[in-house]
Amino acid sequence: MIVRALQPVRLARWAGPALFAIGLAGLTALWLEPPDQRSLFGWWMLTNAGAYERLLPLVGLGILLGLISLRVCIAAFLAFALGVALGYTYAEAFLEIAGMLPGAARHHFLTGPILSVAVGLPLAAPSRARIVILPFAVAIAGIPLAAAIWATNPRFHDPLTASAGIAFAFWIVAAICLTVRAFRQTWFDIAGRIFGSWLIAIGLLYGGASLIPQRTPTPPPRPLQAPAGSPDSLTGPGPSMTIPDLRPSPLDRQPEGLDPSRQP
Amino acid sequence: MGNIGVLRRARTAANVIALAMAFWGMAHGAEAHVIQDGAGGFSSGFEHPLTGADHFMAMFAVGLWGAQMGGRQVWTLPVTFPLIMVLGGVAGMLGLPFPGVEIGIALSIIALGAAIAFAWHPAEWVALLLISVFAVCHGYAHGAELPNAADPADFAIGFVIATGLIHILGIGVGLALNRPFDGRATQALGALLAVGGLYFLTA
Repeated sequence: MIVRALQPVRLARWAGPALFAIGLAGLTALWLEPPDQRSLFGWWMLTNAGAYERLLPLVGLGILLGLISLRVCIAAFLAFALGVALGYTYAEAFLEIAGMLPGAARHHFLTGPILSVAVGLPLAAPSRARIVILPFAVAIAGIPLAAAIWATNPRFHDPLTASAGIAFAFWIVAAICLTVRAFRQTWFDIAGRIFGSWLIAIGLLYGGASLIPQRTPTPPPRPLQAPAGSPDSLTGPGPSMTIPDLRPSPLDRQPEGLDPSRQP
Repeated sequence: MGNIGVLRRARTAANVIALAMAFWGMAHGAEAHVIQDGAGGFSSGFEHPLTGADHFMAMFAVGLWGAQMGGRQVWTLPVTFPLIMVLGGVAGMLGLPFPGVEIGIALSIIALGAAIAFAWHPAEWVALLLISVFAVCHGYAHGAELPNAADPADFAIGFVIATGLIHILGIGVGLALNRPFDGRATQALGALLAVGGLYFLTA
């Protein structure tokens, strides 16, 4: 039984799901850690490296690489790796350019929308157009991903943490790609196109929402109303007063019996 | 031979519906455990098309109509819808005037329901043009809320995923109902949707 399972063909078939299961086990372990005992790295992995805006495009990239021929898949994977390397090396330059866009700094320098559109386009495109745009699109996808990892690294450019973030991204892509390739069905192409259109829509809407300022400003918090019959000293400074009256009010005075200095 | 075809179709429909349900469950699970959002985040975006019956019926009808037509339309309709919805969404975000958007949404349900009820199979470009017009109306309604969301990323992700899942649900139901009674069950469902659209138009 074990010998049969270890046959090369079977190993190749189950490599994707196995890779997926191993990574998932690690993530679950992080997830199950009590929040007050979770390390900074753990928080970062769950809320930043594993944020939906990065996770979904990486899943899309895995599906995309699983749907194309092996030769193109390897070339695209290398192009993605090149994009990640470029993005990490020139992260500051990328963030500086992206930072010129209004509201970009508040939304991770629009790395999520760029990543979504870059992956969604070749995924939703017809087969011929897909081959043409694929290498450029996946290389472009790698740049904002690496820049986002560089910028959000909680240990300030610690190479180990950044490597973990990059390995996490490659793990998702590889696990999904291998699984899709091993269990390929004809309807995967249709599902892939539908998913690609979702990614484009998410990227454009999120990008649009980040660039377009809020139309209705957030209303200021309502002033606290003093309860009826409260002493004047609790109502705060009057309009003519420039410095608030910080003298202790009669209500702040403790009853003599409760003075800690007089307690035995 | 015919029985094998029916079985295969039923299995595909069941798979599609199961996939939609699985995604649904995953999204809710993730929302409950990972996404730490307040109002206007993933949960708000995800619930937006689900809680509005008018949005839900229109998205469902898109999937159902595509499945009824068969061929490429099974996927070209649900692929085109979110892409065109972006245009309406951006118009909504910019606050561009769009009078009668609610009427457009109600009309979309009536038109799609009637198309299904009469088993109308137009040329692909006609079907795409029709759903594009409706996608703009639905996108506008969603987009108007986006810039004010606490987390626009999670809101956009939530509502696009929910929209897509309703399309997939529509495709699954359409594939399941196409064969029994010569597709009359699908047509009856289309008629019900059209009546629902009339209600929204007059309400």
